[in-house]
Amino acid sequence: MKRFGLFLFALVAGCTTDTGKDSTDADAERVFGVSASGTASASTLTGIWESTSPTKSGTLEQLSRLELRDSFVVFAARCTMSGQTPVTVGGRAAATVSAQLVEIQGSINDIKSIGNAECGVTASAGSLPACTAEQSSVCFELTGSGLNMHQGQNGTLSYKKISD
Amino acid sequence: MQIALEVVAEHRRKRDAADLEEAQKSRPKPKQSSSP
Repeated sequence: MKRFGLFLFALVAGCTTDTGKDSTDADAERVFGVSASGTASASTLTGIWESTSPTKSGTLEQLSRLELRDSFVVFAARCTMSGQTPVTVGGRAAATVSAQLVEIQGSINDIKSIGNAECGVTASAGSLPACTAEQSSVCFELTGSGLNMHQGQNGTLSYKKISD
Repeated sequence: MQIALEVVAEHRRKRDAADLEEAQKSRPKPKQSSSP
C-alpha cells in the first residue's frame, strides 16, 4: 500500500469518485492505449511518461502514467488484481507546461473500486518548477533517462518516457 | 501553491481501519465525573 501526498477525497456511494474538472475516462484509456516507443526522447518534458515501479499491495498492482502537453496534463493509473477486471482511472486538467514550470490549473480526482480495494489518482492545482541548485526538494527534474517529480514530504514520483 | 500528485492503491479494509483509528484519535475524550 502506498499513498503519496495529502488530499481530500470526495467518496460517493459505490465508492466511485470522478470529480476532475476536465476528467474523462477516454483520456485515461487513451494514455494507456499508447505502446512504449523505444525512440521516445527523455530529454523533452512533453509526452507520455510511465512510473518506473508499480505500486503493489498484495495482489493489487497499480501503474501510473502522466501525459504532459503544452496546454494540458493527463494523470492516469491502471490497477490489476488477481481475479478482477483491470480498472483504469484518471483525468485531464488544463495546464501550462514548459521546460521551466509545470502549472496545473485544474484538479484531477478519480477513484474506483477493484475487488476489495481502491484504485485512484489525484492531482491538485498548483505549480512545480524545474529543479535548480537552489530548489531541489519541490521541483521536477529531467535526468536524461527519466523524469522525477520531487514533492517534498509527499515523496518523489519517478517516470520513464514511453512516447513523445 | 505546489502541485501534488498522488496515486491510491490500497485495500479497503486497511483504509477503513485507518479511517476508524483517525476518527477515534480526533474524538474528544469523555469527561470523568468527579466524585464528592
